[in-house]
Amino acid sequence: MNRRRWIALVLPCLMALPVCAQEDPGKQALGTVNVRVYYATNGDPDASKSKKQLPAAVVKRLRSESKLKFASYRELGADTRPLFRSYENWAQPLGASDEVLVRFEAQTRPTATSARLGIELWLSRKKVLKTEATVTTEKPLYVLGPKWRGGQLIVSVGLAPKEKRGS
Amino acid sequence: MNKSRGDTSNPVTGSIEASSSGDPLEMDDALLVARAQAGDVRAYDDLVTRHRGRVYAMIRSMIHHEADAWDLAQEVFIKAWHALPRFEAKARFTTWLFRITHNVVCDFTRKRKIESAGEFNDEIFGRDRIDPLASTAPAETESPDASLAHGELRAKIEAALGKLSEEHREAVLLKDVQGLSYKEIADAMGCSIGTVMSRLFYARQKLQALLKDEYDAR
Amino acid sequence: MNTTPDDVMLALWLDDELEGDEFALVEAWAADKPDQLAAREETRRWRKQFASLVPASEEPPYPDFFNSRIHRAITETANVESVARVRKVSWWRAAWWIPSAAVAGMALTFWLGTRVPYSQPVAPVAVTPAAPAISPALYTPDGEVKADYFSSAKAGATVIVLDGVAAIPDDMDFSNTAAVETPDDSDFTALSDQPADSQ
Repeated sequence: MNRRRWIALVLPCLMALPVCAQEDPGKQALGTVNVRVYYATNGDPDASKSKKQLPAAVVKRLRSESKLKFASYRELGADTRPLFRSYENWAQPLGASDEVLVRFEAQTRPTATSARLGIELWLSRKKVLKTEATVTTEKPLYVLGPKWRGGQLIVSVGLAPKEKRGS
Repeated sequence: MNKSRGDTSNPVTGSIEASSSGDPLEMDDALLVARAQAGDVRAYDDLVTRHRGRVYAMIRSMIHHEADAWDLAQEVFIKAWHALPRFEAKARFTTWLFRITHNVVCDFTRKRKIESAGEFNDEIFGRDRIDPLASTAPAETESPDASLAHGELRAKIEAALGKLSEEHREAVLLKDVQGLSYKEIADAMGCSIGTVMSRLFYARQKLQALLKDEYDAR
Repeated sequence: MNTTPDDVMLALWLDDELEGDEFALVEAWAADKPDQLAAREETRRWRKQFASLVPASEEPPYPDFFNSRIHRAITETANVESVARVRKVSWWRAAWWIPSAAVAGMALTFWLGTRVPYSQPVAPVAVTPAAPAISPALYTPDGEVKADYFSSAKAGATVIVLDGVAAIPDDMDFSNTAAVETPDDSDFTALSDQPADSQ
């Protein structure tokens, strides 16, 4: 067998090996989870040092619920992560800070618009909440969390619409 | 000494025959299992109460993180409930539970691989970065001295067990702590008796070397 | 008879798992082999001491809560499954009239089509009942923290209120990581102007 024929036979097999190794169905991304941290206050919103306003629709939504109703809101950060079939994932919405971490994993196979997630909220590197909740593209989970600078943090966990799935 | 149960009648129908060992605990388990299989949730609650200590202890020793042992132990019993219709009295209920525990721990260990398209930061998401003193599962209070001594010894043992592979760790825990027979361990781990033997031999050798100080002092 | 036992037999003997005739055979073989007897004693010593170092049983914290969560998970699943069974039974019972209903539906559609300038969708004959909402299980490891869950129809969201969680120090600064407007960074929960009905 000449060299060329040997390469023609062996090379495709070698190239196929990494592909086969990566075929882990558990790594299939079934959707995208979006985690946001809002600062909510009845005082001065500039205390948060954040300039990012919330969309009017979100403000309206939050204010419609008495427990989440505040005079002002700012967004402190957001993180978008894939929802894997069989693996957990972590969101770190405050950028380099690990003060707020959200661990999530799929409990059931999600539909196009909803997913049942196992969710853990970690604050200051301690697990403070473990829950299971169904989140949809229009119905997030809000967690009213710790106080900070005269306000409170609200952690939002939602499912991103498929057409806007991040990379 | 652990013996495999002898044949018993099907616990779902008819009366329960005594097991070959005549172990009253096994007989009680068989009665509770039969009632639970018939849908009696309170009987299953009794089974949970009876076996949760062993399952929880086993998982804690396996995964080194109290954080999730509490959750996983519950998952074992939830899965066991759903699998109960398929349980037959050929093996002890405990052995069957440890089989489910084995699967749950394997799944958990696999799921703990955090991957997100290669962008993830090991330093931030490494579990070692999580506060080691964090109570991530409900914790009972303990006196400071007892807590310190307990913690130190526990840490030594966990460190030694941590140096074993999962398979070796599980084999030595099932044999030398939980008291299962070779056959039962093989059933729980889904391997041959020969494999159990070799894993056990290696694990014991390694642990004896690592825990030499503790071992000789007792 | 002093036949040398195979590895499996020997391992079982060392670990006191043999009984009956097999035990007798190996015991007889080992009677004049002090190294084997010593090995068995060593194995017994190791098992006893290791078992004293690692607990075989350890009550999980909050044992009542431990059980109640399992009970809840089991009964919630049973409720969902019973609804699924009811739906399945209902469908089966209704099956006999579906062909007739299909023909009637087609005729109705045709007749409506002759009456209106444009086609209109015909209401479905059977409506699948929605699966019952499953309230989320939740717990807080820290006994000082309480969590209240509720489904807010007004906000169109599930809300969990944490009470007793430690405040973040005011001097902690997230400004370096504060959100910056980016073209693609849209809040998906703002897509609908009206909050969705709670599930």
